[in-house]
Amino acid sequence: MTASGTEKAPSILYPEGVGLPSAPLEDRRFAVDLNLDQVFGALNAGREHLDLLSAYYSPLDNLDDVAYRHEVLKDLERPPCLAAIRTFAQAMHKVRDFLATMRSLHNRWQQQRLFLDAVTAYCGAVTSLASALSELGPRSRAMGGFTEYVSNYRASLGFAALVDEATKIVGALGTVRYVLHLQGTRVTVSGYQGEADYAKEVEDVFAKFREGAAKDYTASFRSPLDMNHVEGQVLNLVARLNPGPFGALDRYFRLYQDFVDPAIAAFERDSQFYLAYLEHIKPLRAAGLRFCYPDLSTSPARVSAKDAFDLALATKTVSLGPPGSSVVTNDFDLGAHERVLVVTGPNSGGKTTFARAFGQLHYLASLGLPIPAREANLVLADRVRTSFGQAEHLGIGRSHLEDELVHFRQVIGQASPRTVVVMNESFSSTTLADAAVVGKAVLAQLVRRGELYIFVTFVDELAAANNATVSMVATVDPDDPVLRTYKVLRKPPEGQAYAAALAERYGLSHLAVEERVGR
Amino acid sequence: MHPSKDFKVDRALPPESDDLVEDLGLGTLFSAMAGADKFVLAVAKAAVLSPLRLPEEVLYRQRALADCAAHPGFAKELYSLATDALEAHEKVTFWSLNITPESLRYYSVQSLELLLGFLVRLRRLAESHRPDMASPAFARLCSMLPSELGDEYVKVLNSHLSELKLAGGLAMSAQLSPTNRGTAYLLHRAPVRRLRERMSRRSQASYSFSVPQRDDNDWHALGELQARGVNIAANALAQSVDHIVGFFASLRTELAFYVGCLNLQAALEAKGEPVCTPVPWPADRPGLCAEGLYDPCLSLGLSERVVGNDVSAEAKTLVVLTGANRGGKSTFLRSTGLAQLMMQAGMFAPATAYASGVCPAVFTHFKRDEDPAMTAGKLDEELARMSVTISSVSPRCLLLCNEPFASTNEREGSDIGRQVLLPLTRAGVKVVLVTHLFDLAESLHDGGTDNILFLRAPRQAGVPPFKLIEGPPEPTAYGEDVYRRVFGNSPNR
Repeated sequence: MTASGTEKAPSILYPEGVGLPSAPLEDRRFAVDLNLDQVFGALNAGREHLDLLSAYYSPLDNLDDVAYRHEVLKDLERPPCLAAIRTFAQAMHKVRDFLATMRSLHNRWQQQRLFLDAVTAYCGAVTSLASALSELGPRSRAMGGFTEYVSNYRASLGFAALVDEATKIVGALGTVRYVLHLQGTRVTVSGYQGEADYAKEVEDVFAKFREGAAKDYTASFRSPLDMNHVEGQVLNLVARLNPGPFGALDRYFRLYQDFVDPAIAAFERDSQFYLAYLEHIKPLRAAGLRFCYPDLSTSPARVSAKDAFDLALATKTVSLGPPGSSVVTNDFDLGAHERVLVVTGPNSGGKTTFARAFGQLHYLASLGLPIPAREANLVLADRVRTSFGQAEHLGIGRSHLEDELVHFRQVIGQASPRTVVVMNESFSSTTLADAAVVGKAVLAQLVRRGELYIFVTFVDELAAANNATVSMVATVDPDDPVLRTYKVLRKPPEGQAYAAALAERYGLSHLAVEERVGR
Repeated sequence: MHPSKDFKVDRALPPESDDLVEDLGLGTLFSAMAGADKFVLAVAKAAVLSPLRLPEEVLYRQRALADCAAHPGFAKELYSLATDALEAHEKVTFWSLNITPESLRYYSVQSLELLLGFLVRLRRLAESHRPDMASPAFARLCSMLPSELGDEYVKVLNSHLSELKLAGGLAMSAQLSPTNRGTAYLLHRAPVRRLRERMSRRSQASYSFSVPQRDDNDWHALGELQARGVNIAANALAQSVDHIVGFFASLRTELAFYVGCLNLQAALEAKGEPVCTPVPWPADRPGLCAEGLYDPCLSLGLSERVVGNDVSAEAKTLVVLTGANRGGKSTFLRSTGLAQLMMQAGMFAPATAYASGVCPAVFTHFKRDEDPAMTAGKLDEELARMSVTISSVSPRCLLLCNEPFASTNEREGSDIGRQVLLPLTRAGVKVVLVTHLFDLAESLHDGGTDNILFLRAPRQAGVPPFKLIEGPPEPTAYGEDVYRRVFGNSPNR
């Protein structure tokens, strides 16, 4: 049922009420490569019924849509507002629990009784939400509009009827008392006529014999919600004996099957889009990591961030790592003409993590969410594409290098100047010399097209491809080259100074190998 | 047994109990009290080894015992009635891991019918002896039952028990829970009248169904419904059973004690040994007075009577016994301990007269056989034992020492003895000391305090009876007499 006299409820995700269609499954490869699928999976966990994933796979395409969400988020970042939404979400969860329980039951009178609970929980959720929001006075266009809608809905006659009738029926059922007479196999149900509590009488008569501390012999019964066959038959007869309340229950059940207002349902889903994310990043913020609302542009411009980090990795580090594990953050800064970022450096030195963070920042920014960086200027990407080399097998009968080049061609073909491409260790399946040649050629193509491009590689030669290319290096501790700092800094490539130390560490130094082999 | 609490047989006995039983020969005493009745044995042991702490408590039991002694038949009848009631109850008791309210109701009703019968018999017995009872304990028992358990009340109880057999089926009512299940079940009387009403006058709407007999699930469900109906009533019944069983159990326990006393008294009197009602002095009054004090355990083991001793140790805190070997010193020590424990259990005393302060506890420190495990030398062992005793002894306790510290030379033994005993007596511990340590005895004697009584076993060539006399310690224990008895000549020759 919808509230009478109110116009269409505003969406809190889109100013126009609808967004772009979400990315089809085959285009979600980027999320897997960037480990964003883990993040979205975590956001969706426990909220599967809301289908939040489709919203997380629907990036925004214009700056006002992003601003619209930033406003909502700034409302929601006020703790009382967030609390109100969370309370509402929990209450709606309860509604669904009641309905799920209801469907698991076998006796219709029990089902209908749980239906009442579901509706009552729903009415309570709406009422609390309306009061909380009115009191808080959200400033965003979206939340302001919804606050007005929900207040009107709560004040509507239809809503009042929903509440009042349920209350009356619950009251009437509460007054029902019935008498059971069990004799042999026969069970007789009749109305209660004030018969005295005989157990009380027995207790009184025998009170003299029960002085002092006595062992409690009263049995406690398991009461599974679903009634057994005998109880079910009894309840059916009780319903026959009490046609008033049970008739009303039945009518209510039939009349209000679709009691959840579609706009309320939409709000619950949409608010969870934000809530899930805010709750997800809360422990990270508590651990000292910073999130920001980036400045976005739709034309080629400076692209920079401070203290950026990989959200998926940071989540693991904070939740699973030993206490005090810190998350390494990185900065990058590209001028308007610098469109290619080449990262070199030692294996597991933080190159891939850096590349992922770069892609994540852009994608999360395009969802209108706060991004894992202290501050950032980004291009509003129309698309984030990835090529994480080894894992991909696009075709059969082609070489690996060929696969990569085929994929590249596809990426380039779909790219626009606002496409962000993240490439990880590409062309590594050929010789170093080949990789340098092929890589340079591909880079040159991309630079011409003007995409924002991050390229992670071992191949130092690529780092100085042309003047649109920025070189960044995953650094090691100068005193102990085996120690990675995971800091990625803008500087020329460094070669392989760390290799000997690393070999030593793994027992692969000259002497060590000699000794090991000699055995 | 107590004016205002139950006597418990399974109470934890004081740690010194094992020593007391061994040193004083209490086993003989308990057996004489119990005869073949193991229950009486357990009660006698618990009572004798749990001394009362106040003269009033002692007097309370003495009066009850006097009633029993005057009407031994009544006491024994009460005891066997309580025993029969408990045995009858055991026979109908339902022991199962799966007690349901329904089975609880069924067996409790059965049990209560039986127990109620015994209660009525007990009441009649009490009523008939009520005028004869002089002690508060029995006067209360005899008046409580008739007033608590009048005929009218018994009739009401019986009518409920027959109602609770649920011959007319089980009637109950319920409300609807928030999930429309039955809840707040109440039991009602079976609707016998209402059925008739329904036939004759305007009928009240009712609907029925039958549970198919072959469906196990439905049968189980029906049983559970019944259980919900009878739950509270069954609890009340089961608790009542417990209470009445508890009553009979404590009656049986208490009577077992008095029956035990009667048995012992009969055995002693059969031998012509005297018994008296001892006079319990307040705990802070030192000393003891006895006339004709004898060891009942020794007497029960002999065919002839034993000799009693007189002792007048009023205001004394230490009694020192010296003198001849086999002169009756140990016997005196034991009879003192026994008399004290018996008095403090509320029993008669093995004497023609006995008076003493009630003490918190009685301790014995007797010679022990050498440690069979050879883990400690004799003196080590003894000192360790003494140390344990010292840690539990408190002022006004009675400590009976039989030849302490004799496992070293006289000088050392005496020295230790002084170091241990003097502070004890100064702290108000009453000590009865049997010693051959002349150095010790003499120094106590020459110490010049008048709160020590010295008794001496006289030199005798013959056999018991032995009588102790008051007198200072002597440097010899007449060991040569013994030698001579054994070898027929003097050790000096």
